[in-house]
Amino acid sequence: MAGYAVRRLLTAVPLLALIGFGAFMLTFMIPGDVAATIAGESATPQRIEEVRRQLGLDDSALTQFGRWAGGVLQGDLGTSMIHRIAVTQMIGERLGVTVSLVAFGLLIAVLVGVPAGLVAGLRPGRWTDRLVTVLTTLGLAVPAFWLATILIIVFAINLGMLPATGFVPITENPLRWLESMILPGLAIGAASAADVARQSRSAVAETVGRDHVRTSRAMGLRPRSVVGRHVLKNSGIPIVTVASLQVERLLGAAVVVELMFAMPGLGQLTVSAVRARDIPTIQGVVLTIAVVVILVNLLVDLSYAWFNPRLRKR
Amino acid sequence: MAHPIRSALAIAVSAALVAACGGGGGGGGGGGGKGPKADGTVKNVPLASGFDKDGEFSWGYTIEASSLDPHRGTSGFDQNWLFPVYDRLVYAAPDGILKPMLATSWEAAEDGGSVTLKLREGVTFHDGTPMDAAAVKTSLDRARDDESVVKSDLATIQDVTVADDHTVRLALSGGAGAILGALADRAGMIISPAAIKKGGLDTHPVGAGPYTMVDHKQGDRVDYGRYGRYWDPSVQRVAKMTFRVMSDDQTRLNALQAGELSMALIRQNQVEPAQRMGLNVLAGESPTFYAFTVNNARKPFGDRKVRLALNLAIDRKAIGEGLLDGFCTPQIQPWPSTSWAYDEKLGAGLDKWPHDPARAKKLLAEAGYPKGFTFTALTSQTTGIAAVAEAVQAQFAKVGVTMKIKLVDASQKTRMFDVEKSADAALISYSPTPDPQGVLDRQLLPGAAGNPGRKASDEVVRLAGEAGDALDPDDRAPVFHKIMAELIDYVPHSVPICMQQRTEAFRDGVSGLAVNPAGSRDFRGVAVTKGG
Amino acid sequence: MPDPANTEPSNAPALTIEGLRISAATEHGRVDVVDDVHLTLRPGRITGLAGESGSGKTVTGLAVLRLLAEPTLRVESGRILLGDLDLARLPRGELRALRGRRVSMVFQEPMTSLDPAFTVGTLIGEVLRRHLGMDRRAARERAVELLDRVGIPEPEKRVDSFPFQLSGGMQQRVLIAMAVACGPDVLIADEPTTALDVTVQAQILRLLRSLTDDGMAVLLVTHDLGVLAEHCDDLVVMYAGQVVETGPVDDVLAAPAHPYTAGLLAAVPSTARRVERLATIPGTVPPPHLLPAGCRFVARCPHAAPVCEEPVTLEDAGGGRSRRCARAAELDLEGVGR
Ligand SMILES: Nc1ncnc2c1ncn2[C@@H]1O[C@H](COP(=O)(O)OP(=O)(O)OP(=O)(O)O)[C@@H](O)[C@H]1O
Ligand SMILES: [Mg+2]
Repeated sequence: MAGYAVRRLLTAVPLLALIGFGAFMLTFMIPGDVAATIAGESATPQRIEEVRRQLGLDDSALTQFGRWAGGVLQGDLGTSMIHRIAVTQMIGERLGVTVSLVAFGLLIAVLVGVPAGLVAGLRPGRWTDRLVTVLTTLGLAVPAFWLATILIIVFAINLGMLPATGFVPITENPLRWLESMILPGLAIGAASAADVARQSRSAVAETVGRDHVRTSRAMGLRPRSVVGRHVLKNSGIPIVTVASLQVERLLGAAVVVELMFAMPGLGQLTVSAVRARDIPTIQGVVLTIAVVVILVNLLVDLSYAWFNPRLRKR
Repeated sequence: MAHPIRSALAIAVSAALVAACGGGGGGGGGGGGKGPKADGTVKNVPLASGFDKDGEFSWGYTIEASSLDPHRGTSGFDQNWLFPVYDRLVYAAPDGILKPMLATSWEAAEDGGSVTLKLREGVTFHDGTPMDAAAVKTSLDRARDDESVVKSDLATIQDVTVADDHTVRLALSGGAGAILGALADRAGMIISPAAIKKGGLDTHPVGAGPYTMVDHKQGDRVDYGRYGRYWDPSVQRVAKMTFRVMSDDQTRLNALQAGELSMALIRQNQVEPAQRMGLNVLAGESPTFYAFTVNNARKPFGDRKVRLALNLAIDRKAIGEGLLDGFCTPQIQPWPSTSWAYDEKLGAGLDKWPHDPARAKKLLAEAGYPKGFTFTALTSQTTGIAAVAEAVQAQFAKVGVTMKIKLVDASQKTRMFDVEKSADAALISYSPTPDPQGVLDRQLLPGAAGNPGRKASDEVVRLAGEAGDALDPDDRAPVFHKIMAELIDYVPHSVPICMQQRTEAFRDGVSGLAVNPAGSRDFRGVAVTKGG
Repeated sequence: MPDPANTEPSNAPALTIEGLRISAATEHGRVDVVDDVHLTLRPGRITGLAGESGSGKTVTGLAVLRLLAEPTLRVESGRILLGDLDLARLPRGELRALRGRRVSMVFQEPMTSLDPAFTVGTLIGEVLRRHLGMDRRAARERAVELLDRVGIPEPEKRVDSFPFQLSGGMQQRVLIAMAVACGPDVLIADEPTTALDVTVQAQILRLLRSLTDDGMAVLLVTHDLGVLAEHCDDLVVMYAGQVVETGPVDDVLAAPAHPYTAGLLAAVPSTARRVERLATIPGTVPPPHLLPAGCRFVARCPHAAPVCEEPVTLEDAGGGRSRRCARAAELDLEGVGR
């Protein structure tokens, strides 16, 4: 298993290189001139050219990529052209917000989605199943920003129970961290919970009809172990798969929700970096996200082997 | 399984979409309503009695400082974040009059070749370093080095000399009056020389202002705390200040409503909703101008008749009062009405360049374009300027001129219009420096960055030299009035359409507010009452 | 109600089914798919349950453990007696405690009937821990013994195998090991060998036989007359949801008392050694919603007479036999020798 993980991580290296290269070339397509931005509002054309030269922006895209990649190989993601702060430091500060948000959204998705899918899937066609179906359809149809708006109006502005904006690091104050996570977490987690519920429902409904579940019942196992052990573990692969797909959805939704809740996360950093065409920052974020997604995928793959021993022989 | 390439793309695309939709710094989006709506707003809030000395003031703004280093930050809106920490040599009061700050007095040499500033004694920077002539020299020299973004503001300074411990002399190539205006802004912020030596000013500013920076969370907030040894405790009316980054317009309103902010920038179309929520609205000259500018070295813009015709084709009233809900004052003078340079007799000047399509057509015919012509104008997608561009486009169409609009990033506009000089025209928004000289330097004179055609009225060039020399606004104002008259006659390449108003919503209990003439946010002297 | 196999009063039945009626929700409304089923399982004996496809064998077996797919299938009436307990009426919780402990079931498809996500040791251990309260280690040790008991070589190694690592025959042995782990009184085996090849079939059936040595009663559902003849003690024949004949295997095979049983036997050329499926009798079983009021076999019966139009009950015929035929006394049906 460990060998497999190492091999997977090694194959991720060329993938990361490809992503890094692709993202680099894409940033060249973003209109704008970072040199003009950096030189300031009143800069003369000469000054702008000078800044271009200083930043090496007059070199070819390939040369610039080579320089960037060389730095990355030495663990240096470069310095933000705009903020003049190390990209690793900026990302480090922001990662906590986005990871909190995505993890919280995922937690909501799993804690709500799996039980809902279970209740619906164990008794297909019942009123509980129909209720879950209606709720999942709603959940998938409602955009995160809309839900966020409603949640803010109701819980932050009218009831004053939870903050409307801001992020508190968990290391600073766990309770206030939790308070700051609830509304944005719900806003981005709702659609994911609906998706997880839907997939769990069909996975559970399929599993529950399998012969081996009947065997478990015939052996007198309690419903708790029949459902909790045998049904869930055998529905695990589709459920984990859909949950892992949520990471992607949640990252996308986080960009919007971070802005709405004024949370200094990666999404917000990306927006401002793209706006300013701050290449090292954009690249750093893209690489970070790619690494996160690759790690998530690896964990998911390893979990497949746990759910389905047949896959362990690889 | 989530695919890493797809995920990376997904977040990049989301980000790009958000980036495209969001607003820029101080620019305001226009609503679609009719008629002026600036009712019920205030221009200033006098200090209330019984404010809370231990109070906390929090403010929400659209973009964070690109850097907390006055000389290095790339954004024109950075100073908002810097004012609490950095005192300037000179203070530009809300009425535009320059007042003592770190300099207690100033005097120009007879020949205008230098200005001597007397410095306030007993002032220390937040790190304990004394503020003296040497410190001022260090700071000003740094503001003029090659990496400085405010270098051009101080271009007339030839040398800074320490006359004695608390006296500095600035040797000038001219424009003594203009330089004082510049010293009231970012270029005049004095940094602790010890901190300059130590480095790290991008994130750890050290000035001599009323508040020290307590915490800085990049992309999120800057927290300020009262500086115990400040020379004028009377302006330190709150114990703490927090400035927060909230790029989403609705978010700032939400935070105000939820009591998480005392005050925040709002868009013009949010004024009514904010008032309905029971918030107060401060509206005043910003002054960010929306302007139409051409490259007068390119055909046919070298022809005065063409420039005048386009000017007459623009309906400034329809844009400022209609399209922008009355939150953009139509005017042809390139400085705010609060500025001493503003010619009261001329006023908005809409009678000088009236909306007159018939005459515009006639002028075009005389210039040899009876059927009009076609050109392309750049405009930025990041501020409300795009809506203005569309209105101008429609107004030009009525006189037979086809203006194609090309939406570009602000920095790309700079590159294409100012640097490569490859564009015909642009619709821009610009914020002049506190001193009106800046408008001439940056926009109108032949050497200005915003004048790619390099052509200007010789008379304006001559008057500009004259205007910069005097120190006293009373002496300079008549020269600026003459410049304005000459501009009207010459029809420069760049003409204002309207001047945006700055709109801010604030909760009850906030007082001691006034609109800063430079349009930036200096909350010097702000106060809050308990629970406000 | 007659007790069709009450010949050895000293030998108390392990399980008795009386008047069992089961309905199913179909497109034709709710119809009875099992009706008036009586059967008795005795300790140490294997009772074969035979009948054409759709005759209700599986439904009957599932009903004993109350594993019917409710609410589609539902027990309407009847009693399922395990000693004094009526399984059809027992509260769910108590019933669950009996499943796998006193009554167990083995299914037709070993490949799909074992949970693929757990090792066989875990699966067997789970049953032991549930019913006998064993700890993890004891359960594992006992699982190894059970694997050995059901004839799995190298049980210490196999205990950690996953089901997919075993052959079909081995999987069926594991299922049986699970089912008998707690020493149940009754084992219901629903066609446990259909999916397996011939030699393995015989091994499994011998295993079942050896398990009855401790007094366990087995209900062996099968299509296979060879299996019935060779491995069963008693026989129950079902037709269209009803029991039509019961009795000791040898007696019934030698002299069937119901024309349906005779038809089944006649359709088989020879039961000796060769394994054949229950054979084709001309015509088809009527679907549950089109059953006649009288004898359900009447349309296909060569001996049909007007008397057959009347409802027929399952009658005790003495000698541990019973039958459901109005003309049983008049007919002399041909059987097969062994
Ligand atoms: N879930 C169900 N829903 C509706 N009807 C059912 C269901 N299961 C079984 N039946 C019906 O009950 C009757 C008996 O079916 P059962 O499966 O018990 O037959 P069987 O004797 O086991 O047949 P086979 O030899 O094919 O296994 C059939 O008519 C069948 O259609
Ligand atoms: Mg069956």
